Amino acid sequence: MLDFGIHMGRRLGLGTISILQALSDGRRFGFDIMDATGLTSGTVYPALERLEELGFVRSKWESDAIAHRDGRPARRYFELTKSGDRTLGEGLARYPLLRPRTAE
Amino acid sequence: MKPHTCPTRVRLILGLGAWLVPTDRRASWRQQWMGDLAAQGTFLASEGRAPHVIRRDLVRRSLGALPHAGWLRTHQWRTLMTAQDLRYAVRGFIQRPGFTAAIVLTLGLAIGATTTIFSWVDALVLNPLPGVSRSSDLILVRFATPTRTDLSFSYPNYRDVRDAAPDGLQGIAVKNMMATTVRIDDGAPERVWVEVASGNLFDVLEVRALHGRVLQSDDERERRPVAVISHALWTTRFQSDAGIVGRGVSVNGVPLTIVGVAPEGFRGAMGGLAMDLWLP
Repeated sequence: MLDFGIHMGRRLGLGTISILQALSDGRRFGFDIMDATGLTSGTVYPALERLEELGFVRSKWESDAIAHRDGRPARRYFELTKSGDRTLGEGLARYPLLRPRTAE
Repeated sequence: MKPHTCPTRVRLILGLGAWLVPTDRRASWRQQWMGDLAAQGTFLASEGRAPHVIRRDLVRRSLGALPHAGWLRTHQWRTLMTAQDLRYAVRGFIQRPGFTAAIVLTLGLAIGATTTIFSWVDALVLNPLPGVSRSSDLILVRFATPTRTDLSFSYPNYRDVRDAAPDGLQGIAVKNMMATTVRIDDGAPERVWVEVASGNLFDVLEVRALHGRVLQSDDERERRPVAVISHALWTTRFQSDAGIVGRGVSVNGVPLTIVGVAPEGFRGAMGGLAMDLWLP
């Protein structure tokens, strides 16, 4: 895996970078990312799988206690990895249409 | 998602998607979607959305489960199929060597036959005169009678036709081929294909020499003992000698002087055959 948003010779596209951006903004679940990016669920969920495989994202399951309290199955949530964060920085530089990151 | 809050269409979509998902991922996939859809339903209900609006939203969102399931399936295929197929194939080869040999032989024969047929078609139909840039502008003139089309003709016949060439023809050349014996230096005699041609053959075909010059009309008129050799003969029998022009070659015992080398790829004016020498 390489930095600069390139993996196996292919750059990540605008949609994928926007998913990383939504994660960076604190969205954790598939539907939240979908609403933040305007992408369809059919795009977001496979993209999250691919990003996790590339090491840009990691997924976890929320605790059973929370799920039990809310009366539903536990949800799978996603977080940005350090590698994903670097890739996002590079992607935002390449796609000026995406909102630039605020200074940390 | 509680069963009573899960729309029928969502259950159908998830059921169809589950069929696609690899077995080892199926439970987690279903839980991921059920958890997200339930949370979404709860959120919309807390905002006071009407039940039919909630149902419509959940159905729309659940449609993403199908491409998600498809991605998981194809991803599993991509990562597992190559290794599995290779192992399966090797086991099959070992267990059935006779069958394997028959398949390999059949494939070899089929590939060889196909290659041969294509080579013929390419040489005779698709590209009969390689090395000739405007071969589609050439026409073949034959002597014919109402009952025969393969008549031979004499050199005076050719001169008459050449001198009376109709408008539109830039030139008329004549050629004939024969297998003959050549000796190079003091080497053993060998059989080669020779094209005996009028001096303007290369001009008509618009072929230039790689080294030296091609045949000229003066060669024909003055009956000069000269020859142009093919690129193949130059590389194989003369070791690509840069000083080839002026060297001698014996054709049927007659000493000739090599005046040039034809360009690589040019094989003469006889479609489908490769000439080694051109003589005026």
